[in-house]
Amino acid sequence: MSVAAIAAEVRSGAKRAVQVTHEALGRIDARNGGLNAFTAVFAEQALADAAVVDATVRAGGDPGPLAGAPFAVKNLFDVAGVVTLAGSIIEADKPAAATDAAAVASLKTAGAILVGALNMDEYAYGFTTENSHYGPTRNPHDLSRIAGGSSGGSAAAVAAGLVPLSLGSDTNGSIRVPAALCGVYGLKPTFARLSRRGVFPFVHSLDHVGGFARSVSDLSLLYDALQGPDREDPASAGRPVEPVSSGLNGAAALRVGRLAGWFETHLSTEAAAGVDTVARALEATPDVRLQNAEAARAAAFCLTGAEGGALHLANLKARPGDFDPATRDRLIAGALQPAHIPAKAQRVRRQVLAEALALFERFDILVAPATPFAATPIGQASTTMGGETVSVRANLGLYTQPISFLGLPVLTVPVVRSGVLPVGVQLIAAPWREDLLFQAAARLEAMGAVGPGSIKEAALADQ
Amino acid sequence: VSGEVEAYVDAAAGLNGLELGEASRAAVVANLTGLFRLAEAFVGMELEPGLDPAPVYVPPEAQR
Repeated sequence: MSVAAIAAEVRSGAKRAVQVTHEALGRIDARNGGLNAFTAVFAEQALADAAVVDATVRAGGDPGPLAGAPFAVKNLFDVAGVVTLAGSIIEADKPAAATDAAAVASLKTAGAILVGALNMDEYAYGFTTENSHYGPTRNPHDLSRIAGGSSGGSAAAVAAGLVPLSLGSDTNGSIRVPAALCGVYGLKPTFARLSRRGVFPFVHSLDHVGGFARSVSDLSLLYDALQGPDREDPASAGRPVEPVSSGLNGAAALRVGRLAGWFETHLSTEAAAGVDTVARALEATPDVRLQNAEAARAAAFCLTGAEGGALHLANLKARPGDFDPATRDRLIAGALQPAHIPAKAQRVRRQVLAEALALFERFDILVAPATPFAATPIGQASTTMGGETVSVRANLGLYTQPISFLGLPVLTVPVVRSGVLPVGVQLIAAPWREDLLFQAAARLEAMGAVGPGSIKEAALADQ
Repeated sequence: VSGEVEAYVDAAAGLNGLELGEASRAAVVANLTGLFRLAEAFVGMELEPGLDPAPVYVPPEAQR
């Protein structure tokens, strides 16, 4: 059932939020064992929150546009009374959060019901959600394969239908990669659009908050509820609310370009087919070039290591054995880079952004693959790409990293075909033009070109 | 180059108070070597005047 339908039934009194919550908890109980998407379920609090929504309806009040819609959050979002793990065991020793993260609070204010916290890569440094402390999250389309990361639990929970909405974070592709591999919609808005208050940081220069849904309409409702300036977050640009859910069917023609060059290099057959589908449907102009995309990707990679390594340096010294060894060694290497590398990376950011803004004088939307290949088997460290054996973890973000480095808004749309693993396609717009992303995605969805496909429910329930 | 990176890692880790086990040292050297290779894609880029310093946010002129 869509979020709009849930909210309509709850608001009208046709169905109680408590009943909707019980149903979500039942799905989680039945199917999470095989997926390992959830690291915590807040059943008691969720039912209490749902009862408040029902009481509001009974009293004739407005419970909000997301009334009764269940949601869950990557476990780096603060939830009052819960320890914020950020995928680590080091943070498990810390006190529980005193208040909800701004994004969590916004969704609760809109009437949504928080039902749990979701698995992720340790400290968000990864693209696979093969967490050595809490286990791997499995892809609902094939339980032997990765869900992608670092917001892997968030994507898998939505793809499997456990919840209609989830929150994640995206530094280099951590929403777009798992959305692609799990076959759901994922939104990474413009940098500094949504508040990061109460979200465990990774790379201050690149961290974004966003979310997942199984339809464009659901994602638009989620995004609208999250918008608004936050004076308590120094990383918020203070943009006013610019709703998109009421304008999904915009009539204006969209000028669409298909990114080539770097975004075609190493592309697998299945990922290329996904881009073909979307580009054809949107009548995209071919062979559009972002000249320094490779440099942007490299700069994002180095900057991530430097800022992430600096953030965790104290624990890298004091508790090295409590990190996943692979995470630890990448963080240490990042921290040891000579200062001129991250400093230059920051300067390159603006140069490549200027190149991208010039493209948006000709195009409203740019189309690019989300990942070079579909989900790989859990535990498989390397894959073949362009005839070379390469690291899965290091290369899943090949096409997402240059875009988040520039802070551009991206909506990843799922291309799911029968018998083939899902792939995702990035729709990219100029800063602050999320409205165009939603219009393009809604158009693709209406044409049947994109969509989440179906999951074999029996396969999940049997685990 | 490998030997130079190893020497650099040993010196930099020591100065930063990081103790590296043998397995960790090898992984850090491999990771840092990878970062140095990646950095070759941008450290030599000539940047246009006026593009420094980098903004954390999208510049105002790009905002609608």
